[in-house]
Amino acid sequence: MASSKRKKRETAENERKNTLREKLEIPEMLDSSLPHIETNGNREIIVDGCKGIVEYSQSRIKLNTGALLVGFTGDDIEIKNYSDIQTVITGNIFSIDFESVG
Amino acid sequence: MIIIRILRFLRGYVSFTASGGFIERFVNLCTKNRIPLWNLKRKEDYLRADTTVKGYKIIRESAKRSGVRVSITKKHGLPFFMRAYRKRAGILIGFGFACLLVAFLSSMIWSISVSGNIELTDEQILEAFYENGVRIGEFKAKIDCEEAAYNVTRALPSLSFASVNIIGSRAEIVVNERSEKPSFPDNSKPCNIISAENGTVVSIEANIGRAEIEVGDAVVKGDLLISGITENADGSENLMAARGKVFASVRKKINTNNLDFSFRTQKAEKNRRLVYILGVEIPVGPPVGEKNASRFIQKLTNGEIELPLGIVKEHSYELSDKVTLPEEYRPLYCAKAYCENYRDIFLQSEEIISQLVTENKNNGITYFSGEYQVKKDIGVRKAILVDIS
Repeated sequence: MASSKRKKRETAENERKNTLREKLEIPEMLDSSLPHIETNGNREIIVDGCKGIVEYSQSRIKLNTGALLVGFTGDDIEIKNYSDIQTVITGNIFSIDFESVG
Repeated sequence: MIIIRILRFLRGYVSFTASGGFIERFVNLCTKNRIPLWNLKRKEDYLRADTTVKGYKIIRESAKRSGVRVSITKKHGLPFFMRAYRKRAGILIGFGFACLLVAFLSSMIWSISVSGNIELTDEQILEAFYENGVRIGEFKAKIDCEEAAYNVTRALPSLSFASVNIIGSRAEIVVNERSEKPSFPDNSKPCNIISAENGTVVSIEANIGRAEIEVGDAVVKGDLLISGITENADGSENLMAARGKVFASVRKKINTNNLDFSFRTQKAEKNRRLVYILGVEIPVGPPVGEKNASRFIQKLTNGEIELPLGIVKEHSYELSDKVTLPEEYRPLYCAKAYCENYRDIFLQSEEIISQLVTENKNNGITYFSGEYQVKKDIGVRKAILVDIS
């Protein structure tokens, strides 16, 4: 019961934040809850603010970035550098998919 | 990125494999425990990654909690290299000695470059600086750049500026040559303009003074062309420096019939090479003597910086008795002489009015002779001697 109330409160708070951001025309990039992802072609992807690895296989990596789960599918993909500040993924990347958390 | 690689190499790092258990959880736990990971590569049933030495020491806890087994595959970096050779003192001593040698040699000048000179040769400038202590093999601390530059500008009056910049083990000499004052004819002393050659006057430009000839007049060498003495209306005379140009049609001849075909050639040539290392020349072979000797230093260079390593080539020779040029080469020699004469005529004249080239044979060899009518300024200044007493 308490958990449901807290979720409702959080959702309402998020909606207020979104409305305010839209009114003030603040870029999405400045929203700290969303990850910042840079791609250099399909060979290198830099993800800022990674909170953990959810899935890691030879052809797929899925990262937890807080608000989103970001999945990378490709061939011969490798994590060149891994830290909570910045994660660098290299390889022949075919697709990126996003999944909302909660 | 290269900096990071160097730092990793200096501090040492290990490559390891993690197999079994939950690989994702293992990576997350490592991050949580501040264990840096890079070059993560997922294989069929294991993970390959790199981490620091310090990180690997505390990786066991993360591995245990995630059910993963870790094992080192390779150790990289300077600490592991040093450990492998720690019992071989000679390498360490040699390394230390090499460092000292590099430090010692770095305190000296090993290359000198000269820039900015036009008339003066590099050798002249280097010699002047050599006498002031800027030389290869000299300690940098002993060189007083400002004083050397000052002394060189005094020793070589044609330099308006000189400076020495020491960059590492290289001395860079920058000079600037003085522009010569343009020479103007001395108009303070009275003079006439007289003819320097025989010819027929084509045009007269008497700027100062009185023309004594007219167009079409034939003049011989020494004739007065423009007088520096002018007469006033009251009958008195003025002395002035005559100025002007008198163009005349002058006859020029080129004859290659009477050329001397005897020459002296080089004989008894001697060559020697010397190895040049850090300012020291090590001879390879006996000396070549001083008669007609020349030397050339070829240093190792990358196009900009010369290294203090190279080869010195010494060469000397003696002249033979006079030998006559073989007949087959004589026409070529005559043609060369003709061309040189023609070039001189062409450069000294304003215009070639007419030319007549004739060909004649002597002992089977073809010679050329030419007659040219050229237009040229034949006037030269001649001072008027005034007796003041």
